[in-house]
Amino acid sequence: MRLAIDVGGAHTAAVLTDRTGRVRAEAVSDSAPGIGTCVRRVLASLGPLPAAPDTVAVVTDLDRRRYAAPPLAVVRIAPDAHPALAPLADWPAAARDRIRALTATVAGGSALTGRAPGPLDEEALAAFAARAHRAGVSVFALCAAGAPARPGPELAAATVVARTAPGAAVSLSYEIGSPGLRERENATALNAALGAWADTLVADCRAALRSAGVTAPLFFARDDGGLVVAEYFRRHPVLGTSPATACAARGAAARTGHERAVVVDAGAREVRCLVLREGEPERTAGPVPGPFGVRVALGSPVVVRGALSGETVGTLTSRLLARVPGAPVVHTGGGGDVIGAPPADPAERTARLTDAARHAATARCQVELDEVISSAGRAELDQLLDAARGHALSRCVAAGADPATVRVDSLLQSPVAYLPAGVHRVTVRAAGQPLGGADR
Amino acid sequence: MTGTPTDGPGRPGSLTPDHLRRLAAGARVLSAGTEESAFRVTLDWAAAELDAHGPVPLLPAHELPGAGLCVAVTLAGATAALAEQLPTGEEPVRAVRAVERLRGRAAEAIVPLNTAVENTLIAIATAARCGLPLVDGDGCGRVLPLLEQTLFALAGHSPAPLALATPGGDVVTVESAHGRVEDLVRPLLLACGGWGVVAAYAWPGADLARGLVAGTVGRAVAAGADEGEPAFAVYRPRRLCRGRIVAVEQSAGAYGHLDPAAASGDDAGLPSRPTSVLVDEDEGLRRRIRLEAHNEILLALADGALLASVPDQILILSAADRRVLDVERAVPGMVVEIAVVEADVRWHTARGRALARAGHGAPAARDEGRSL
Amino acid sequence: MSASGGSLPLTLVELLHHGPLTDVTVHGPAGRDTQITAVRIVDRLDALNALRPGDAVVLTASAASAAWTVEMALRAAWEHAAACVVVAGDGGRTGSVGELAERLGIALLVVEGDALDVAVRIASAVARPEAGRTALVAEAARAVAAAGVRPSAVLSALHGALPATSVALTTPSGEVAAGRAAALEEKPGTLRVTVAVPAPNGEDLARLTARFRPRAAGWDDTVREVLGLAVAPLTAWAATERLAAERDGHEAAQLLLDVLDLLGTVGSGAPPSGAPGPGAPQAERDRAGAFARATALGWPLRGPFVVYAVRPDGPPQPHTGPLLTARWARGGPDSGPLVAHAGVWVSWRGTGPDEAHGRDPVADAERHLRGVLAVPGRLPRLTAAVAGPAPTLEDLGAALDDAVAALALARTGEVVRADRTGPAHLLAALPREALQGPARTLLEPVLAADRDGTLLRTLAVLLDVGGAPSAAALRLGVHRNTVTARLERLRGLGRDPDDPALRLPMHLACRVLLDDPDAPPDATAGGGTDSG
Repeated sequence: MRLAIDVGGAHTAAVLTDRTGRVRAEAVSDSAPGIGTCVRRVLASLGPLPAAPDTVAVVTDLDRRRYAAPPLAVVRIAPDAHPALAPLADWPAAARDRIRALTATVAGGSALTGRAPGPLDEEALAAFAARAHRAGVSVFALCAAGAPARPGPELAAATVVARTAPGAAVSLSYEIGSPGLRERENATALNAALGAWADTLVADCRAALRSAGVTAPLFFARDDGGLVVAEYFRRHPVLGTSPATACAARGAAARTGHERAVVVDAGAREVRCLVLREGEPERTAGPVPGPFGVRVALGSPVVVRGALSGETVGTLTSRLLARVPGAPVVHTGGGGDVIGAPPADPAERTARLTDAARHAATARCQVELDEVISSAGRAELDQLLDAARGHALSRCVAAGADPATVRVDSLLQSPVAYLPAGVHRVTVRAAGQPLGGADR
Repeated sequence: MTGTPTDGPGRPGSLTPDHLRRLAAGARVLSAGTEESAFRVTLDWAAAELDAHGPVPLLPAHELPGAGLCVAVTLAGATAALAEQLPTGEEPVRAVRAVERLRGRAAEAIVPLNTAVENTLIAIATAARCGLPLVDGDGCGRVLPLLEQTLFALAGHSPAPLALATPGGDVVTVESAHGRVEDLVRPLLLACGGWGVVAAYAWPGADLARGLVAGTVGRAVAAGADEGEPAFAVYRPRRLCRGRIVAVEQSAGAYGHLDPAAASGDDAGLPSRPTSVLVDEDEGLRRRIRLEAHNEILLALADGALLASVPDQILILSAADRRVLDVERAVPGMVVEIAVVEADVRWHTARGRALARAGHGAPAARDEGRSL
Repeated sequence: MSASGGSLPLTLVELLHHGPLTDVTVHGPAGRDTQITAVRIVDRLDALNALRPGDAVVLTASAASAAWTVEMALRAAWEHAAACVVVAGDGGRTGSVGELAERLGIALLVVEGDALDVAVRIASAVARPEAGRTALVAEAARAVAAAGVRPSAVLSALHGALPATSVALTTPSGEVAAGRAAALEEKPGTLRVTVAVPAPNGEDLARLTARFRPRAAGWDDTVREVLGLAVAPLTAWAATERLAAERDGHEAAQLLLDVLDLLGTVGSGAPPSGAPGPGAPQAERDRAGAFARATALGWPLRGPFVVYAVRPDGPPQPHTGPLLTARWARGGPDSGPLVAHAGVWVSWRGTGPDEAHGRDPVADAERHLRGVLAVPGRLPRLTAAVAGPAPTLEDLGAALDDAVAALALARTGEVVRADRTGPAHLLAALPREALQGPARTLLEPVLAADRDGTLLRTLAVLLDVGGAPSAAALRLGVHRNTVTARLERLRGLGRDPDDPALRLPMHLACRVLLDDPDAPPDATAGGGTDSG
């Protein structure tokens, strides 16, 4: 048995599926401000469970509630750059207002080819960390140049921070982002800033579930609709700030049998559309505005948002249909009536409201890994690719997948233009079934 | 001179931050595979220089200082490296100053080496920083990978003496009797982290004018003034055919050895694999179109007959929205248009073709010298 | 590396069948007419500009290194009318290229081994085409032997063996029983070789005709030699077919069905014009086989035809078929085959164009049939119908249907002509007894008012002529106004011949009440005059 709960702005839906993915129980209730209340309410609507669930998955968006981020310290480990390219320089003013951050650039890092431009300036780093610590900052984001090729400088820097600011939470860029220093740095800073949100979310959900007698391992949905276990989510919250639309779209695709579709998710406040191909949401290729409008390159689904009106939806869907000619338009979410979607009978309405939860109840744990590798020859390249596969698999297990089921879904490898022949960018995706049992 | 831009009436007299945004959009219309992160770096950098130093005068080609020294500026190396090791902003000035020292006189104008968006943006940043005007034009009319692949070189001007300035603060100058400077610069780039700014082709304006493709900066600004098809139309694409992609194959590649005229290009650094895209024309003669791509589309065959080849730019457009489609995103089933943007006529001479092929190990067209 | 001397060049087919290449995969057409005059080795693409017609273009490994280079070579070969493009050691990349070879109609030969070695071997074959021709007769003998006795297979074997040659097997009347009709077409610059195929009894069964463009000196002897290889199997085949047909009349019946069926399904006019190979559609093969067997049985296949249908009286007896066949045979060879079809016996014979001039072939046929049926014997009474003429074989089926239908309407012992039967015959076939009651009920008002039957007859004639009073007046021999007056009366009685709901039932009822079942059909056609 797997339980999934989709906590939206207006509705909370819960779905219980059996081992084969068949729905055994489902319920929809009105959402409340607190996520704990939402979970308790929907579990009450669901009634007594026929059996204790093995896993629980929660789908919820960051923007469901206003979040006040704690003060932050962002350290760039790289040679000095143009002031216009300094840490946080490309953040929208509103984001800088909401996330108060101390920033510093300290010498260190490496080139993509692996060559180090200079040693880590431990002294400057320690001084900055101490200053931040004194200022009450306990959340650090570290981003070193060349980290996708050489995570060493970041790990060394993390040691310095841990020593100087005991108890600080540290986010490292090599675990989070892809090549492209500024976008990776932004993602790492956001990740650090969202830690407290994730902590609260996990604690609230756990408490609500325990009060209903559910103690199964807790998972959270990522932006692409994959799952990660609560502990992994707390360390990488930036991966799961707006999973609701991708989950709803994938659930709707499974419900209607359309692997290729334009999905219209009509929510309580806005409409969100995305394109599905082979059941997967279309992903962004480059940097796009992420949480708080900060530009990141996380390969998250391309979600087009619009006002909740029939006219907007018409424009959006016709634009998206150009990318998947002939594909059907699939509706999900509870706001369909407002936008003039085909009228849904009560059963259909429930199906639409439970799409996201139904997907999460059957979703796999998913992770990806983005590295730059330098090899001297074919044999070494193969060895490094194997190592990358290994990293991805172990990361997937860390994300809560059953080690017996993890596998590499895809490995993309492409030489980096105008660098020596052995330098490749490698992107590995790995997935596995969420591991059930006692919650950790 | 089809496809060759000239000084149009819409050409701005100087480049403001607003022009910069339009140029950034317009210069990317033809390039599907721009490294986004590096592009953003150069855009923010150039915008900051314009903010700090004011608008850059845009010099029409016919107003080039005849005797005054013009210097071509370009990014050299990997954009991925630029995105990782950010510029300090000092690189272009250092490179220009070094070339001025070698030439013994001050530069009077900056010209982009080619139309790659990063190069244009860096040239603007350089001009702003140096307080010089930017020439509305470039030395290529399109994008080719090597430093010596310019119409300046074709007109007999050596890129050397040139200067390479690295983000680490190093400046390397290269004086070379022959024109093949890429072989010298490439190892230097790897030694300094993968990228640098090169100042080259420091020649009097009257000389450089012979190799200049005029109006390309203004053209990019015009292309960015609008979204979608009108922007594309600025480049005067010629539609070759329309059809459905039926297969995407790995190609054997290996073009260079077929034609001794093609220089022994080192394609080790080219990122993509040689790929064939097969398209069945869905109108007219219903021909079988084969596109051979390696980084860019090198040639288009229709039933085995050459439709177009480099140095003309062959583009796959998604039929739905007429946006340029990266070859790596081409999948069977898509309905596409194949269009070509013709290169400057000077590239269509025998020497021009041979030079343009050098970097790719480009195909040996059997209609050598025939203008397509 | 080009052909020398006076003999004609090697063809692509010769190269492929008898040449020095092993393990060849051919994409695109291996045209029979494609001549190879020289071998051109291409190692650089610009060499493709210098191709000449008839070149076998051998690409070196580097020139064939990518699919697009092979495509360019195919295109250049097509533009320069080269014979073929040869690549050695396919790297598995010719899949999509093969499609282009097909599209352009240029053969792409993928061969094992080294390109230069292949080029040398092709060049030596090009230099000595005669060596291949000796091999050709031997190969033809082997192929004909392997083909068995079926004409389509034999002709296929001949076509496979003889490059650029059309061969046809024709009946004495000139019908193509198998092979290609093109062999019979006189075309300038072509030669013809004919070989007779005797029937088992020594009669003329068929002819083999080959047509080709002159090649080397003595080539026609080669062709005759190869055709000669096919005579024995074809004679043996005719013997087999005749025995089988005599053994079992059902085969003939089935064959007739097959022939009619194929004429209906294939739809092309003449018997098959080409020998279908193994790749030909099933229908095409069936058609060729059926026509060949019809030829073996001596069936007339060239129109115009007259058609007979014959029905013995009473339930079928085991001896009826043989007796009828014997009777039929006494009518002479002109009588045609006798085949069970549609529950009766049918036959057809060609009337010939002379016969058609100025004479009524159907009348002749009717006379002939009466003669055959008049012979006394142990056969039950025979009823027969004649139909036709059917101008072509295509029309045979329809004529047979006409004859069978007319036979169904004929009364026992009668010989009817299908072209003289009409609505009257149809109406005569109605079950009169059963319909008397309903007919009287329907026409009750008319019968009650009709003292002498003129009203009923007028109604019948009006219905016959489609309601036009003037036409009816002419038929009845009365004034038009008389008919108009009677029509008014009929309408007054509620029996308007123009009433669409009543027209058909009234017409039938009139016929049932008026017609004398024993009167000959002509007499019921309403041609008499009205006494009233």
